Amino acid sequence: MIRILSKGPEQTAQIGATTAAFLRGGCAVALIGELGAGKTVFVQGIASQLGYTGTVTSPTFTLVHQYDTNPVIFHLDCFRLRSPRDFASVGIEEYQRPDSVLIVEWADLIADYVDQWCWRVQFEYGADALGDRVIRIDRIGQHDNPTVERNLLEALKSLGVQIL
Amino acid sequence: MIVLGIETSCDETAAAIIQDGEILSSVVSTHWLHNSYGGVVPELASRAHLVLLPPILDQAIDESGISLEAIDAVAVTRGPGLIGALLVGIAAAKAIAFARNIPVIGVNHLEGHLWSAVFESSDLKPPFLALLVSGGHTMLVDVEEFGKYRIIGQTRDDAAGEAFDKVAVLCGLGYPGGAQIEKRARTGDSAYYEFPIGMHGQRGYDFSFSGLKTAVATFLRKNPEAKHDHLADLLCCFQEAAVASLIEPTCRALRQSNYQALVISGGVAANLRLRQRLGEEAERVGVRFLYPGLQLCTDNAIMIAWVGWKRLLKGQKDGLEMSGEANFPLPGILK
Repeated sequence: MIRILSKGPEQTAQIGATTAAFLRGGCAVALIGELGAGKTVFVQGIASQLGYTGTVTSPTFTLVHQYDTNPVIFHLDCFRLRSPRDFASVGIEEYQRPDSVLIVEWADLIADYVDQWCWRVQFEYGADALGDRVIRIDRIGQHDNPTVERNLLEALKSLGVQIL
Repeated sequence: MIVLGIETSCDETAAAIIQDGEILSSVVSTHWLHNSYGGVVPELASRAHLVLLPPILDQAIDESGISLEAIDAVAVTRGPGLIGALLVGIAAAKAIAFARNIPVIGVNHLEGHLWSAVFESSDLKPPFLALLVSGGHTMLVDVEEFGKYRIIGQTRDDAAGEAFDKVAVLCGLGYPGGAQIEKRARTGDSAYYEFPIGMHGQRGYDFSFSGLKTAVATFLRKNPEAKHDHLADLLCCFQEAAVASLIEPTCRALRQSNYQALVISGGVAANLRLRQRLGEEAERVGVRFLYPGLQLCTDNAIMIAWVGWKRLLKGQKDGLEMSGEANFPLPGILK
């Protein structure tokens, strides 16, 4: 488990960009956190690091965005869904491919319907300041390499992020 | 010429019939059903479209007073949207076109919105500046002529309608509650609190709403009682900031070019405060200000049929191999 402090949206995007190096095809990332906590900003950092030059916007209304990065990113959002069945009808299986990364905002709703979770990232408002966010990153799922989380922690340290 | 339009790109299943640009019928069914808990139960996407489209097509034909045999072409939304949802409409359109041996035309959903004010203002002529504001999109489009567009600005994070809906959730109004904000804000005090305006003081024509949304969330964390004691004031101040976040880039763009008109469209175009403020600004700059009627603000098939009809007049149509495209770009996009 990694717990870090982001000082604002720019740093949250940098943390996303740093995490991008640890994403492989076939991997899914669950993003959890309240409105305005920084989930979309985190994805902006990932997509831009993986070479996407377009604008990453919130998929709340459109539900799914695809970015032709390497690997391809499917950016999902469960905010306005009320039952996992809704995402089944959108075709969640279409977005779990061995050569693409799946990133899901408000992921709790479909936690049991995705097989390939690799990371779970939780965002919380900091206690006092306006822009501070506590970000908790967990390596999840059945994965082989226990050093991956440690390597991510080292990468975040070299970014200058405050470790909690 | 009689054109049947079909729209299934997101939450609405819709069919419409127009004759030479005049509306004969329009049927829209939304999948958002209100429940007794004050929230909503979405019955989403492909399956809902599949169930709803056949009776909606029947109703559109019944209400138009013409028969299916009289239809000259079928226009259908090709994208952008959810691929599974798009494919339902496209399959239906192709089946009708094949059975009747008439052309099928794939239409860009956003292009439909750009022209939706034409039914209120038949003399709408390019070049005009279109502000498309909905739950899923917020963009400024330079319309040089039919089929030639330039997206000059768009949101960098949340769509405007999404910001309204999410602030409604933060204030306990349920989802989607964006439309309620305008009504409740009417009695509010605009001097209660100053929320940040997206892209304020910056250059260019992009929009931003995520900072405003977060500012409301942060304000409510510090002042949870405001949700009860000052709801109208809070919503009024949010709406003023949201409207200003739309107006500032739009005015910068209006002043940069010789547009004939400013046109708004999309679900948020129904917001009266936005219409009022944009109207004032357009008058100041000296351009006409046009907006669609209510049934054409939200997703509908009339606008799809209209774009299909215009393309047909230009001799454009698609083959039966045409398919849906989730990221379908606007046609004739200029850099």
